[in-house]
Amino acid sequence: MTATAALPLDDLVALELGDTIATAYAGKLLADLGATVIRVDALGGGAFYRSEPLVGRDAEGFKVSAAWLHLNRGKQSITCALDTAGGQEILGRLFASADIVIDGLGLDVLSGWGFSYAQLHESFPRLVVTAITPFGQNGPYRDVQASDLVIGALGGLLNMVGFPEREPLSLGGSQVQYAGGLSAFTAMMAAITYRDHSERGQLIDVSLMETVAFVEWKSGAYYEADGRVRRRVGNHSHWLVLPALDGYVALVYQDQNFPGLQKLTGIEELHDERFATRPGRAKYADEIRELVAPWFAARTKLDIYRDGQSEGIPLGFVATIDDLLNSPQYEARGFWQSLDQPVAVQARYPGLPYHLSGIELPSSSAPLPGAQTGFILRERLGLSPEEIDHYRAEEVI
Amino acid sequence: MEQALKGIRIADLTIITAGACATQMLADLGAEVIKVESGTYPDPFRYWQQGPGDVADGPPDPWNCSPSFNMVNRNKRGISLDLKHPAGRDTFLKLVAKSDAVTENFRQGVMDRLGIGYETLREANPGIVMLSLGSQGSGGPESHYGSYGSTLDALSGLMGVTGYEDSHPIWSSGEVNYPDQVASIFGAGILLAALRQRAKSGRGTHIDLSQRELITTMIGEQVLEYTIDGRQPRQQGNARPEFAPNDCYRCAGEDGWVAISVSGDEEWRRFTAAIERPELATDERFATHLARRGHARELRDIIEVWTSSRDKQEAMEALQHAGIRAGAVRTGAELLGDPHLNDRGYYVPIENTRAGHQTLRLAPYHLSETPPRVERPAPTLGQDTEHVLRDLLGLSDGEIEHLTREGVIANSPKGRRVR
Repeated sequence: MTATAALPLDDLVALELGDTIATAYAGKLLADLGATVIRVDALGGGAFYRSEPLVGRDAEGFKVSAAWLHLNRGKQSITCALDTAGGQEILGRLFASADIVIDGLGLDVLSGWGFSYAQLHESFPRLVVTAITPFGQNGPYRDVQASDLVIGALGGLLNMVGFPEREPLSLGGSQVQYAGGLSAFTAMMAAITYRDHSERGQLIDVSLMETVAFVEWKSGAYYEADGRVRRRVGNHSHWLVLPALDGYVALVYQDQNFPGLQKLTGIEELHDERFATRPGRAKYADEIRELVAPWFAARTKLDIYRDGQSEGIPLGFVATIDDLLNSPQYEARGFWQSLDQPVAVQARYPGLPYHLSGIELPSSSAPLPGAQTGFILRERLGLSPEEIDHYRAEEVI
Repeated sequence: MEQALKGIRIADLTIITAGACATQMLADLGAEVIKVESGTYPDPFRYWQQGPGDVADGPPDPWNCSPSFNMVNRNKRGISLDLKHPAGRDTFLKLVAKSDAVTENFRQGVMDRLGIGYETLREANPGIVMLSLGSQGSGGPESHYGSYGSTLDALSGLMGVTGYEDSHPIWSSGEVNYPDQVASIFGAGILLAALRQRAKSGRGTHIDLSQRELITTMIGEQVLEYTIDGRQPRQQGNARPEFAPNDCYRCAGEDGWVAISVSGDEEWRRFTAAIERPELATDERFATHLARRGHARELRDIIEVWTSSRDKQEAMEALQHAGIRAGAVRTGAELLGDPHLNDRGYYVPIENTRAGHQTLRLAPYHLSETPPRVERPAPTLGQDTEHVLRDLLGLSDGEIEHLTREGVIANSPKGRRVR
């Protein structure tokens, strides 16, 4: 490793295969820390470039995937037909130049092209190969057909979200994928730490179902302790979602917060002795909700947020994206980044959720599909102009 | 098998989940994590969910018996030091001098008030890496605000896009606390990245993480819909663009549900055959992806005729057999017996020192050469104080006795009744 390296991962090259949010997020987390992350995309960009929700316009007037713009920031893209012999030649050279592979295509697919994990490990013993799949590389569900909803169901998270009388609910967006990206990131950091002193790579097997179960660990642990099956509780506990004048407030009152709630709202009935103990408050939670609801409904969410916090109640307000763009907290931390993308949009993007003191981390936009194809073939893989022309003529690149 | 993080020592001040789980993940991978608690302020997780029965029937030391605490603190060493006492603080700084990292998720300002802010830690150890896993990070008008995990569902924007189409916003709530869980996974990884930076540059760093911002980055597509196109993202229930239908349907049995995702018209045809309604394949209300999205409510009634006459497992198996994405909605209780998770070694049994048997979930990843593993149960309060102070920090027996007399170290919480 060089002594002059300025960023945590700037000596690492990661290859990103596949079109899932989990792989793209895992790759983004590496790119944020200075790694060279190369996406191998289908000619024209493939499914990811056109995945919904679509936003903005590219140079040809087409809308572009928001996930692409957000998750591919700071990466390079090479477009290459991997289902051709030429494409697989290029892929083999890319493996040879990489420290990390983040795979969302499936190890079986790679194996069919002559790149089984055993072969990769033998040829490139320092390579860290990360496979992200719904259920992992083995076990009885290995080939179960999955969607994020199905994974959320089998992993136990859906059971806990929503109203008890209605269907179980997914968290917004693509949380199964994002959480899986985090699992992959942390596993890769551990594997790279090991490689730094052992020179040995390894296979990381990330199961999205295990990630969901890991996130939703408490209901199983509590059940084992007290025999009570946890399910959705809706708005019937001391965890309350309440309408405010202009939106919603998310209120929790634990034992130590109840006096603050009494003081904040000034509602005399909250001093009723039925509410004086934790079991009493649990028993009469619906009554407490009915008592406080009008007070919340008469005030703005931001006033409630600030006044509640000053009474020591750790409540939150339900922020819209607009609220976040105008958040003095996000402003003070410099969270938002304004970027010109190579598509016809100029907008604010979520920045990094952390600062590293004394280290300035890079900030750049997502590439167009294939933007670095020539550069990567020429500079990284050392191909001659004739070889590149050949691949172009064969419609491999 | 070797361990990935052998040789890394962490002086760990983290509490509850977000912080404590991050260092637990590192300990499972071989880091030496020394958890520091004080008798006046033990990790509050020690008092959560201490098992069945009236407190009066409970163990004499409930703080050693919390399943939540024991889950996210296994593999750690535990020492007790009152950081508000000058001698406790000095001893902590001796530990910092021999550590690679300090981790904490106190409320903003607590570390400085204890006199162990980042600058002080750096004086004790110029190469130290500090991880602050804060609700809203340091700096800014709301940095000192409190949170309970899921309140960050609300503040981050995630909750605004979570809910039924016709309901108020919904959070992951108290028994999931999604933001805490994902922050712990990320916290472990970002600490390793900073340690790598230190190995390259010789310089430590302070990681100032905002859980709220982390969750906002995890709804990036919805953020860009608004910042680029001005479209306010909405609650969409379980609907997602690539599938129709994509929802949970009621089955026989208590709170029984099966999740079903159908992609494309060919899959739809197979699905209609599987639920014995082949005529729906050509019914114009449902024949195309867009038509099915537009008639989701009618579709629910039709599908539930089939699902409600069988239990969730039968429904899942029948649909999977027909090549349809389907999964039973499992409870956490059911997961403990799940054949797949058990086959993959996801659950590990342990005998706790004071709380008996417990099933621990292992990790959301498998590493072929350096698998995470559980070697010992969570420490009882102050369990390793003497060992660490004497053998690692080189304190004499006399010095340790002095600290005990001064109340700097204690093996039971102060101010708590010990029965």
